[in-house]
Formats: sequence, C-alpha cells, structure tokens
Amino acid sequence: MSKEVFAIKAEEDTPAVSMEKGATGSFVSIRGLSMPENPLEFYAPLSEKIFEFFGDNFSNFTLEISLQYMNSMSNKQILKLIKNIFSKDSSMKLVWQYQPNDDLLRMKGEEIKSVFPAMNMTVEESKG
Amino acid sequence: MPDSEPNNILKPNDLSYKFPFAVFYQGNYENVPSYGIISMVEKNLTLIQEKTVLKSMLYLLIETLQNIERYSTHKASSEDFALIYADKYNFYIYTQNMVDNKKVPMLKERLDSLVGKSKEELDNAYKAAISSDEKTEKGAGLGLIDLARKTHNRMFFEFHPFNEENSLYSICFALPLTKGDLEHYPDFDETRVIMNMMKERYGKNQSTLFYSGDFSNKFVHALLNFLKKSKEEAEGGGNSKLHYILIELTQNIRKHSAKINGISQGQLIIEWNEKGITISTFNSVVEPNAQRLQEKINKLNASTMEELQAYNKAVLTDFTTESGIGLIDVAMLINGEKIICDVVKKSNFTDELNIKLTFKNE
Repeated sequence: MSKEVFAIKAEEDTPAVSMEKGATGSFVSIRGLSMPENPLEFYAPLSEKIFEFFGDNFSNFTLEISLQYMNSMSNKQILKLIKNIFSKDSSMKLVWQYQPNDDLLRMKGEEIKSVFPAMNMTVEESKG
Repeated sequence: MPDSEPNNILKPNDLSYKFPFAVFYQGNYENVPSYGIISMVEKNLTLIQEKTVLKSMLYLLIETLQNIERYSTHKASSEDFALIYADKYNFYIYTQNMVDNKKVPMLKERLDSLVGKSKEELDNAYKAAISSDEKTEKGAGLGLIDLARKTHNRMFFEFHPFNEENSLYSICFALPLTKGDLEHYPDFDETRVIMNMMKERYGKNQSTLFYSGDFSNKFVHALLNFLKKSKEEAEGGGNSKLHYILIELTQNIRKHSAKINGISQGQLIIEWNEKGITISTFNSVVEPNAQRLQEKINKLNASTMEELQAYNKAVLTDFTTESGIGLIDVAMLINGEKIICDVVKKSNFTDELNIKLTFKNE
C-alpha cells in the first residue's frame, strides 16, 4: 500500500498538522502554537478531516502533539479530539511532547494522561 | 488599584481614554527588546495612520530606541526607558537613559545648537555634518540633526545629574499624525505629566512594561517576542508561567472587552520587582460580563489547590459546554496567591474591569 499524506500549514495562532497513512500505520502530528481566540473554528474542521482521511483505518495509530504554546481553550478542544479518536481506536498511541523547561505543557500532558488512564500515552521532552 | 485618589491626578487607566495607544518600557535596553516594542507600536499606528507617515514614525522610533541601546552606560537599567504614544494630532517618543558625565557637555552643546533652527538651517547643518570627517566613537551627531530635521525641530531635552559618574539624559520628539500638519503644536507639557506619573508609579521597579492599545493577537505575539528577548528572561532561562498567564489574560481582554470600532482595547502592565512579577490589566466590558467574572474569581480565590485541580478537571472534561479553564489555570499557576478583581461601573452598559495578580519569579 502506498503512503498517503495530508498537511495543514501553521498559521499565526494555529499549529501545523500532518497526516499519514500507509502499510506501517497511521500518524497525525500537531506542532507549533495553538492559541486562537476561537479554537473550535480550527479543531472542529480538523477533527472532521482526520475522520474523513482515515475513515475506518485507524490501525496502528499514533497522535503526536508537540506545542510551544497552548491556550486554555485549545486545551479543551485538543482533549475532545483525543477523546473522539480514542473512542474509535482504544489501542491508539499518544505522544505528548513539551519544550525543554516548559513545566506547564509537561503538566498539561500529565493531566491528559490522568483523564485517559487506559491510553498508551507518553509525555516526553521534545528533541527538536 | 482604583480609585481612592483625587480625580485631577493622572492615573494609568486615564491613558486608555485619552490616547489611542501608549507603550512604556523601563528596564534593560542592552538585550535589544526594541524589536518587540516596535512591533507593538507598529500595529497600533497602522490602525490610526496612513502608510506614508507611518514610515517616518517607525524610522524615528528605531533611531531613538537604538540611541538608548548604543549610548546608555547601562549602569542602572531601571533609569533607562521609553514612552511612545499618540494624541489626536501628534506621535510622541520620549526616551531617557544614563550617560557618562564626561559626554554631557559635548552632547548638550550639540543639542543646544539645534534649538530654534529652521528647516533650512537644519538641512544645511545635516549636509555639513554628512560631508564632515569628524566622527565620534559611535557615529556622528548626524543622527540627532536628522531626527530634528524629520520632526520639524519639535523636541525638548533635559539633563539631570544622577551621581558622580552618570547623568540622566532625556529627549522627546513629536511628529504630526497628518503629513504636513504644522498647525497643532505638540503638547509637551502633557508628555511631562505622563512621564512623572510613570516614574512615580513604576520608578522603583527593576523593570516595567506598560501597554495600552489594541489587543489583537498581533499584540500578543509582539509581547511574547519581546519577553523572550528581554534580559529578565534571558537570565531566568525563559518563563513559561508568565507567558501562559499573559496569553490567558490578554485573551480574556479580547473576548470580554467592549470593542471600539471593532477593535478590542485594553491595558496591560507587567512589573518586575523584589516581590516577583505583578500583572495588571484594565479594560471596559459590557455588562454583566464583569460581574460574572468577578464572581468566578471570588470562587477561585476561596478554593484550595486540590479544589482548583478538581474544578479544572471537571470543566476541562465537560464537553457539553465551551466554557474555558483559563482563569482556573491562572489561579493554579499563581499557587495560592489571590487574583484581585475590581469592577467600577462606568455607564448603564459598561463596566471597568481591573485585574491584578502577583507571583514569584521562579
């Protein structure tokens, strides 16, 4: 099976998103800043796009979130996105990355982990 | 916090009503926070100004801020500052920095020579200086002549002895907001009144950023860039707590502020001193938003850390509402310190909302 990709460019207040699906698995990465005034306008269509792109094929799925800033409204929308994917694929893997010394985003990752204790999730320092 | 002072004394909140924008930064100019200041001012100028005049204003701003960077002895950074604002007719830049006492006579002589000169005389002085071989250690007097030329010689300057080695040197330039408008002479007396208020209120801080103006996300980005480059953060290895609190508070202003011509206006003051970091915000809000916010803050202030954590998780995982966790996050971040919230009734439809909080700079 050949690899299919889809990407959304980062804007001033919203992160870059890339999606990939292929023989080895499915992958979504969300990187950059997430601080729009109305995060619903970004995350609702993103959620729709993810489900349209992967359809029923969430096998071996990894979601990687690596943010530099995240406002509280984005926090809620991101949690909602994770919940929706998790309800579709309970074996999904979530990789939460935070910038070196960013205790807050590390704590935010830990908080998400406590909301989904059954999820395969790692909270780690970003390497680049 | 307001408002026990007599009405005839200028207060920080008054600046929001009097001027479209005002930016004041007192602190260390060695680590180039100018870029952030310029971005904050630029966005506000584009809202009130045509492009052609904007260019001259930015030139003036860059030159004057660089003068602080270049010429200050940086011996007491809290004495270096800039105030940038606009009134109805003019754009003002007032800067103050420490200078070596040995340089004062020469600098004073140069400035005195510009006083009262016509545009033609300044043009001639500029031509003479540009073709002269005379150079000072960091350039020439050319910059000052050019600034006087570009501002139609609308300026004032002052020197005050500080100690045996240094003096305080301040200079203020003004440019008309409309090209060629020489009818409305700048109100430099008012500039002095604002400066005195700023010095009185914030002079004892290690550093202060005062901002009154547009609260679009352009400002938030300029602010974050400014903070990343400032010396306070360079020494502290970054301060994500401060950034996070600022993102939440500035977005609160954007969200709840009564809009003027579709633009959210407000005020933000960050003070760095021995107590830690104090952040104050001020904006007008449409009733009954202020009351609701005050009730929410009272509830947060009365909660223990465990209660805050539980409240945070409950709101975060309640997907039936879009209600946010911004202020709960802020309350958790300041770790037991109180958020002071003060609401003043302004009219039948609007309230003034003042928020203030202090936390340790860790």
